[in-house]
Amino acid sequence: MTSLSATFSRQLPKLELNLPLVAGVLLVMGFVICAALAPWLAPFDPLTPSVLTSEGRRLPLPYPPGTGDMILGSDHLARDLLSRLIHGARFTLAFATITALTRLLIGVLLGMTAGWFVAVARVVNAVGAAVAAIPALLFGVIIVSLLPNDGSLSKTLLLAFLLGLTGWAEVSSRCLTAVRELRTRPFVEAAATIGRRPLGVLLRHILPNMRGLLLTEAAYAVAAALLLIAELGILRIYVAGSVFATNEVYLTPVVDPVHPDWSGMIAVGSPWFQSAPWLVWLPLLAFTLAILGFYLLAEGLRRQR
Amino acid sequence: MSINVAPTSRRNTPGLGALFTQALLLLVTLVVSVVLIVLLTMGRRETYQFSPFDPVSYGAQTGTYVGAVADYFHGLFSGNLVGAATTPNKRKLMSKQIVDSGRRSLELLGVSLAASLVLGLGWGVLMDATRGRGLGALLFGLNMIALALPSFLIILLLISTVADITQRTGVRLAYTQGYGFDRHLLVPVAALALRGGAYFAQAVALAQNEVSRHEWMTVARAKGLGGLRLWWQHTRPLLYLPLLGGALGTLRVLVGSMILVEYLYNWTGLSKLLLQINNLGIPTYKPEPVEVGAAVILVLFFVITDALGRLALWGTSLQRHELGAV
Repeated sequence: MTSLSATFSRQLPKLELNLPLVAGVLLVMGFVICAALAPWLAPFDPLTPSVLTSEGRRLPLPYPPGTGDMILGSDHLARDLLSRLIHGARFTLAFATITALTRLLIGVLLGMTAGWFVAVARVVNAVGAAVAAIPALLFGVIIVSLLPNDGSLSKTLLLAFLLGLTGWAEVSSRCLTAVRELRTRPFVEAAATIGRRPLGVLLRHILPNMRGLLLTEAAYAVAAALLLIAELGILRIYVAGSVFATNEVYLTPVVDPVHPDWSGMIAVGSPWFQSAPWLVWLPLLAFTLAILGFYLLAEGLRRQR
Repeated sequence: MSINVAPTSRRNTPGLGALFTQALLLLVTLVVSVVLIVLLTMGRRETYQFSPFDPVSYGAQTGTYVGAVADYFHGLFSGNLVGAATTPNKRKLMSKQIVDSGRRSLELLGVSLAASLVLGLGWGVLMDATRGRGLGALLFGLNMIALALPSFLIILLLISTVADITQRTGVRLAYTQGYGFDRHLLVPVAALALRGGAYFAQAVALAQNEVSRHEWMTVARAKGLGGLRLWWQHTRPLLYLPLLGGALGTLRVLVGSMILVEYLYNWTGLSKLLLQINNLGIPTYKPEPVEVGAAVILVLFFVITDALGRLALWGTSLQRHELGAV
């Protein structure tokens, strides 16, 4: 029996704990579940104010954490902060994913082409270096300022795509290196020898072998996109679009994000930073955990390769 | 060259043709990036005055935009970063504003870079030397967290902590905002150096790990050489080029993070001027040449840092090639 178990344990592959991967997957899954199940998880409606009174008098806004049933308090328009954070995960993650996918798509297309065709590599390198030279934040500020978003789907999508125009140079450079390494492998040379066209070789033989790299790059790209959105929020720029809103709490119009999103929550909360710091800290914490999650995921995937 | 040749006897002989290509690439990058940034920042000029649906004024709009861009480049070619501003006095004033802001940004950047390199070197060497053990795991975990933390979060945390300590104890350890080459530097430098140091530590650890895999290291260890002596004699000489690349990468990380750190700390540097571009969203706003100038300087700085980084990487690959590692 002992020898059997010893033989069995010898035959099992030695599992090494990839801690960054495990931690990253757990964090990312947590946020994805929050985003997917937001209507069921959120205790309040994220858009409806819940005005609280004590002895017939309205409590001063914003409500601090632990007021009434609001675990994390409320914003300046009496809306539950926890519910806005949970619903905000939907918009924020979707927006960051679209931006990251755009970045990845451009980077992979250009990187693979440049990796195969030497002449193209020179042009891609020069343009990539020029684009990478413009800080992503500066590019984002200019783009969002020039294309004001009213919260409509088309404009939000356009903005997400345009923000994806930054940061592709790093992806393309890593893809270029990977393609150059792969094209010296026997199976690629064999495919080229039997007359396969470059496009066919790239799509059928090289791309599948870049799976690991692409997954890693995707996770890094989402983390970078989240960071950019958070930075825009700090500068009080609303990527989700903003409107002048009135409600039963504030009768005069105030600027408010169209959709609940973390970046908009930072932008709205920043004037209250001294008196109600949780309005800024909580969405910042959400951003930080999400960025950390995707970063750990990328690092774990990189180690797995 | 054989793989077991002593690392100190290396010679790097880059070809002139390759150097020329790199220089050409730098020039193209400089031109393309400056054109891109000027076209983008001046984009607002065509929409703030005229109705976009009026065909007569549309021509005028295009003329205004193209004219503004042409004016700016005309000024730039005459050595004037703020383009063709209205009067010589205004130009002089704006140029002085840019130069002063640039100096303040460079002060912050210089001190932060020095702090990052010192912190990162110690952190990285220890992180690689203690890999797989308790301290190594702790240093790696801290490295991951510092890299993932946005610089704006670090500076906000530092500002709140300093303010809290001052309020509770009456002792002012540092200032919470403003410009000054004194205690004002503590908070922004700490915020920048934490992230920059983490980046450099990662570069150091990776480079050191790669060097430690070479055969002469095994031979040296087999001969009984170890500890600091092994590091000094065999590891250190091979780390110069990768660390130069790492240092330039750190500089890039610092410049990227500096924009928001300056904004939040109210450090009156280039970023403060630059972020006035944020007002482009206001319909009546017209970008000032001083903002475009600040953006151009920052972008030029990015391009040059990037080019230097590429050169350092290129040197590293030459070094690897000579040692037979490629």
